[in-house]
Amino acid sequence: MFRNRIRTAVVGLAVATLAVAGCTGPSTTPEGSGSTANKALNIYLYQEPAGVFSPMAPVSGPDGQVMSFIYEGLLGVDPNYKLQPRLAESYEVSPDATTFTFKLRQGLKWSDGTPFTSKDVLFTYSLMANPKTTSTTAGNYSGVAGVTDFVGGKATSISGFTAPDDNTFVIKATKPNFGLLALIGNVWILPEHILGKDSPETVAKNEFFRKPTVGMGPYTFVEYKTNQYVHVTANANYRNPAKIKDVYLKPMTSDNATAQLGNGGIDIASYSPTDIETVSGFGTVTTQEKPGAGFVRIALNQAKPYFKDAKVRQAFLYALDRKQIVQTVLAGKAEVRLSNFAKANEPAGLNEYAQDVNKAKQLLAEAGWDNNREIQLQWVHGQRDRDATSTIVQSQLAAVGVKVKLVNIQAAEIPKTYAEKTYDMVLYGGGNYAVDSSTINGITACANAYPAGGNINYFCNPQLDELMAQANSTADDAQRKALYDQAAKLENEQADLMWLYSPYGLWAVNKKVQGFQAAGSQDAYFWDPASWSITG
Amino acid sequence: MTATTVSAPAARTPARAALRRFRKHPAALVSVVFIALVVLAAIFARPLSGHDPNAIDLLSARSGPSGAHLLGTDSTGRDVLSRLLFAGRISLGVGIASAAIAVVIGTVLGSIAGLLGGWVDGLVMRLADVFLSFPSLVVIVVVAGVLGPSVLTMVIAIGLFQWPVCGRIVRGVTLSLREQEFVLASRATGAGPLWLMRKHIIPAALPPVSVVATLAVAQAIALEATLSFLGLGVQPPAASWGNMLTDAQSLTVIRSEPWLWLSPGIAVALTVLAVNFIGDGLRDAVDPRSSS
Amino acid sequence: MGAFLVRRLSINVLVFFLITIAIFALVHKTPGDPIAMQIPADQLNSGSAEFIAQKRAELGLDGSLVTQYWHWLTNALHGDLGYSLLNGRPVTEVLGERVGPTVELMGVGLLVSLLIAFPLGILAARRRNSWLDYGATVVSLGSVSVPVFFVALIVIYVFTLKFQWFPSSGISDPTNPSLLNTLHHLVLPALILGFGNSGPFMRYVRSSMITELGADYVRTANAKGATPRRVVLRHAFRNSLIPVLTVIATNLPQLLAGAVVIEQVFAWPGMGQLAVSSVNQHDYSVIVGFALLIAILVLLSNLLADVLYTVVDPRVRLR
Repeated sequence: MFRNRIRTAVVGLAVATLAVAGCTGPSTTPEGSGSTANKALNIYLYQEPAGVFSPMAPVSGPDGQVMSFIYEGLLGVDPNYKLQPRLAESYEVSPDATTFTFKLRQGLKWSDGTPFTSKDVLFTYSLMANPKTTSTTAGNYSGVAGVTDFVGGKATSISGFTAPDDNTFVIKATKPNFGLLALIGNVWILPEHILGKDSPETVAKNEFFRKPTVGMGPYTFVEYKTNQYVHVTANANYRNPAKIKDVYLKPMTSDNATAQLGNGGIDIASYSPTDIETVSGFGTVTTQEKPGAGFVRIALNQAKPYFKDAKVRQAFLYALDRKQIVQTVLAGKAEVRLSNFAKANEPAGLNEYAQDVNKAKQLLAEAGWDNNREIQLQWVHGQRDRDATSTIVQSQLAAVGVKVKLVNIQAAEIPKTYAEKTYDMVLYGGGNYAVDSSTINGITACANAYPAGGNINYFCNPQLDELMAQANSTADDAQRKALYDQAAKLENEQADLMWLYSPYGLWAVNKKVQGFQAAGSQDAYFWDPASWSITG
Repeated sequence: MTATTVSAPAARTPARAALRRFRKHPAALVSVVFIALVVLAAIFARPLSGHDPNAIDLLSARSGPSGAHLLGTDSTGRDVLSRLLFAGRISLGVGIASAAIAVVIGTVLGSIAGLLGGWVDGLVMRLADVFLSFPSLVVIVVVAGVLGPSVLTMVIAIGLFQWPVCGRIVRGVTLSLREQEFVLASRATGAGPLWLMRKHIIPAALPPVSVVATLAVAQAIALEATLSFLGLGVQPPAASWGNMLTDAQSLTVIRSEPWLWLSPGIAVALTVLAVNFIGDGLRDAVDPRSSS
Repeated sequence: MGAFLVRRLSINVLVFFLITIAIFALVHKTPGDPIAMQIPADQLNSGSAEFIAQKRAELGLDGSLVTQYWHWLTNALHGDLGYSLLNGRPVTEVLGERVGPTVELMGVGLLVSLLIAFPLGILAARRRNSWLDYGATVVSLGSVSVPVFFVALIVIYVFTLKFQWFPSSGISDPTNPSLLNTLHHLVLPALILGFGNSGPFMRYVRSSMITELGADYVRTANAKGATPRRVVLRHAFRNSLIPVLTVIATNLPQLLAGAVVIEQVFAWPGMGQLAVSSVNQHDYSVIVGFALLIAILVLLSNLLADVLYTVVDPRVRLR
């Protein structure tokens, strides 16, 4: 009888649970994960997408990854950080690096069947360059002829953008500017026949960007179920239609993603160095690692007199054992950086700043460093590798006589410390300057001091600016490379930043998936999904 | 709990009697010893652990318990035992400070309500209801979210949300005292409210308030740990029992480095449990009826 | 009874408005700029300033506090809580989709805590001062003393990592979110939430049962020869139920606090997880919406307790 009562209680609990879960639980199973599961691909998203799939919106990793399925630009950046023609069949840069001519592929169609022409390109570039559309990258276009007049209201269109015929698009720069190609050549093209009726002020709010079902990418947007997945399906009008019909991009915790990799619920996922052992234990997946372009660094506020002396900045680098940091914190899955220039673009013979405590002390003494001065290192707490790194930096600087106080700061408070130049040191990550080294100018040029640009450390070296400008004004590859090499040496010697490390992109892929090429970070765009396939 | 028969040898003073009753509460006695040890360990953290809590050692990072590091090391090679002991200072400090704030606010507002009565009493008690009905953890999450996390904000916020229990008790004591003859007499001779508070209310309210204060300390320590665990309390690199557990939000860490989260977790659990037991013992001691 | 409830209701409405003012005053003191942080510093350029200015104006962040408050309050009363600063989605929508999972977790958690509290509380009351009573007290003290996140870590270690019986992350398997799968994910968080809240309930059940067992009618029933089980379950238990229900109503907000922590540990996509992530990302409009929702929940559960109270104790009708 007692046992009966227990059974009644258990059944009662189960029924009640079912009732509660039944009326509140998540609703449907996504189509495609049932019988057709082997034809659908499931990809891990490291964060929840914001849900505004617009090239005008602020950069957001997961949204960008979704957009890399549904949109395409004239050019694209491959996993090796090289520009490749996409919607453009070919492009040409004039010898003086002022005119960029793109020949579009013939007979392309939007996913809804509408013909694609250079007018769509012209439309998109005019939107992106117009600050009234709240395009966050509008500043990138200031080097295009006629943009200043257009923004200032003196012209109704941008003279530097022209579409001489349906298959040609031309960009003219105000002055020699080879880097413009990498800066704006890969913008995702938007459909004029959908968005053309909106005014620049309202276009960003068009509902299209929440449900962008018309695009030039290999996949077409189907739906975004918040907290669950973004569903995209193969675009039948794509120039070489994708082999996998349905793709689900699923935001979840990294723990969940790792577990799902093991049981086949997720086919492609990035993972963190702490999970290497777990992931490599799965028999069903292969792993890929790819050197990253972005890097974790510490900016030293050179508006403060005590960071103006390059010797102090060099001493700080000598104080650190960056190799050991990479070993301990990232299980060796990262590269120590020697300059802002990407490893592939860097000349040989840069100073490695290997740890040398005596040298650091000597340089500090020469610069007259005050050992009683306490400086603050601020960073946003929450990423394991950066939290650990900040502690290590504190302790290794202490060993050369520099007192550092760690300040755990809220992300929203950071812009203020830049604007008021109040911070000493800030640890942060990001910055992909690999595609074209001219972008480094954005964080080193005297003219780009915050808030005009991203030079938040208020570094200023006119000689470097001059070298960078010269390099960017030539279309000759060898000549440009030689000038950038000089610039890299100067920058390496000046130690404008405390470059720390570039983490590798670590990706795990189910063995049934072919053709996936890993990118250098967990937030990078996916490259050429149309060429992926599923076997078995 | 165990029925305490207070008939045998008549206690000479109420305090003695209370002490006698407290001694009959074995869990509370053990807890007092335990908390005394925790306090000593926190005070002598440096000599006991033999390590600087913030000293990193990259070569021995993430190593399990050993002779050199009795409780192992964390992801940058800091000694877990040393961090545990130093964290004890913060946890006990936060607990006592916020309980003190609660007691001060509660005593002041409670005696004002009791002495003045009328609409003031109604207002204060209504306020107490409101504060009591809000889950302090959730409120502090919101406050920390807006003002930014800091130990001071946390202490004040915890204190603010714990005063009503104490306030109600002091009010009750005040109300009962107010009508007694000696109080009426002293009021007639012109004694001020402050004098009344010092001479009569506080001594009378002390025993029950000491019980709620103890329980408040326990609650505050647990709250501090929870908030720091969520990243909204004590900020790294300062160690607290809560934020030592923050790293353990990944399955890999939970599985492969249990020493990182077991020791701080056990420290919070045992400390809070012990303080609660002491509070329980105190309650039985000062109010023999409550145990039956 | 009507007059009593009307008075409580009007006090609650007044308190509610005071709370909205408090929330607003607090948010206005906030440091930092949630809009500016959306653009990484190294991608700043001349276009950024216009983006920031336009967004601020759009979100009404540039008026005075009073204007902002009034603007927000009138909208809120129309069910419009503004837009998330992070992704521009309506706050009601963002919060709305999180309510379900939290209610699910709290509902089942409450059920679990009652299933622990009632049997233990009744047994403890019937065998007062026995070892069982003593043990029940220790369990109850333990449940309020051991932080839920630590219990959660131990449980994850044992049941997810060692035995691999239950998952420990998320509301369901993202590739197969069936009902059964959801229940499987619910087991650990609901059990822990239930355990953490069972302590106070058990104490109330125990003391309420002790009162009832000492009442005249129970003595009469005993005298008439009813079996002890019948006396306990049919008479004493029923009568002790309503005061306990009152306690449950007043404890609902506490249950929510537990859910906030548990959702964080188990990556449960409910309101608590949303609150903590909004706090970390400075999404003030979502934080304000969350605070408002909590205030409503707290005041409603108070009102519920008041109603139950009038049902139990007819004397309060006279007050």
